[in-house]
Amino acid sequence: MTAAEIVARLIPDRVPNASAARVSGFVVASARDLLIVCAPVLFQLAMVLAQSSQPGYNPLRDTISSMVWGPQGWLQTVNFILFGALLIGLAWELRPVLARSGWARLGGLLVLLLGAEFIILGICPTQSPGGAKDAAAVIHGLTVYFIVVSFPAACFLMARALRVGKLSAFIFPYTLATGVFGTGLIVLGVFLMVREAHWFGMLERVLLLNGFVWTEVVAVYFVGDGFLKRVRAFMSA
Amino acid sequence: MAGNLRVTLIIMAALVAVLLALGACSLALGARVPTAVKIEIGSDEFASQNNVSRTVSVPVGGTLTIALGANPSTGFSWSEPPAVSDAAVLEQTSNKLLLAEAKPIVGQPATQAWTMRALQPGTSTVNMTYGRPWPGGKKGIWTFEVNVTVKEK
Repeated sequence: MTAAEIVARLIPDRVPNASAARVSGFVVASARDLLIVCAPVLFQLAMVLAQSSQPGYNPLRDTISSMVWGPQGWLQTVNFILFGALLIGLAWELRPVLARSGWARLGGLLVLLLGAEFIILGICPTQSPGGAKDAAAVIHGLTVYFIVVSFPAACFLMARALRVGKLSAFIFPYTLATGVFGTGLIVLGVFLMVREAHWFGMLERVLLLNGFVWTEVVAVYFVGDGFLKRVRAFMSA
Repeated sequence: MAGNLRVTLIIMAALVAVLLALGACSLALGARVPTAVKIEIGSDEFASQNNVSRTVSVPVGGTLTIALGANPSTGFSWSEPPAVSDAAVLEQTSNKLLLAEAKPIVGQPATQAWTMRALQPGTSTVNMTYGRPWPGGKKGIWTFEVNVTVKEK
């Protein structure tokens, strides 16, 4: 029995014309879309679980990357890689919207690279506490800088092209505001790195949350909407 | 179409709310606000007692600020950087010279301040000496020692 046939058997008889190939295509596409839409929530959830298992971990002071060296470090490693893959998926899904201008395509490329960079964060862990700064730690550090800087840049590049559909009047200023807020946090981050390093964990979390909320809004608007249409089409076909 | 938009907005609002709640959880879970401990000793105290020592406790992640009286225009200053016995426990993060006025007159007292961060539980001693730093200059006319215990909060 093929995978498609197994999937078809799981679908109730009341779905008309549920051929094995059609059902499996629907399930795979829907699962992909759902994962993309839920990616930021999954990341945050896994992060909370990982940090709750680490004695002495202070989220106001300690970086997210440093959790990979804790008792449930593998969870954060998987988290980086999975989120990166799903961010690449989001960039791929946004292609039709971003094809409207060269700047927007460049912004989309930055989102795609951001996904790849999150995967690199998972593969190349940060410096272990008390350990030497090896090549992986150097790559990790550089990757963090790239992510922090390129996200606001991607927002500015894509904002105009995202003016699509009924929420266009909201998405455009919201994307610009996210970019401005992200830039402000970078400036604050430079100040904290020099003067007040014990607040760095909090800054990193706020910076990440800013990006996650934007990712969530855009993913639901552009990917979730398509998902709902697909479900309705599947059920009524 | 209007139905689709309504459902999209509801899902969007719900997921953003979950994200913000998880973000708040992430910040609140195990968060400990670093405690700042400050030691201030003026020139008058050093003039009456050349060698001063203190003992303090700082939680991990907290900061210790040491502000000592000085008179840099006379050529005397506190040794920089301070000698820290265990750098794995305590690390210096800043060093400032605080002047009472923007254009100080010669001989006007000032304050030299250092901020240190408590990295991990343990003990560390910070030693400083006051003198003229150049070769042949008078050294160690005042000394300051602080024994720091860093505790897990």
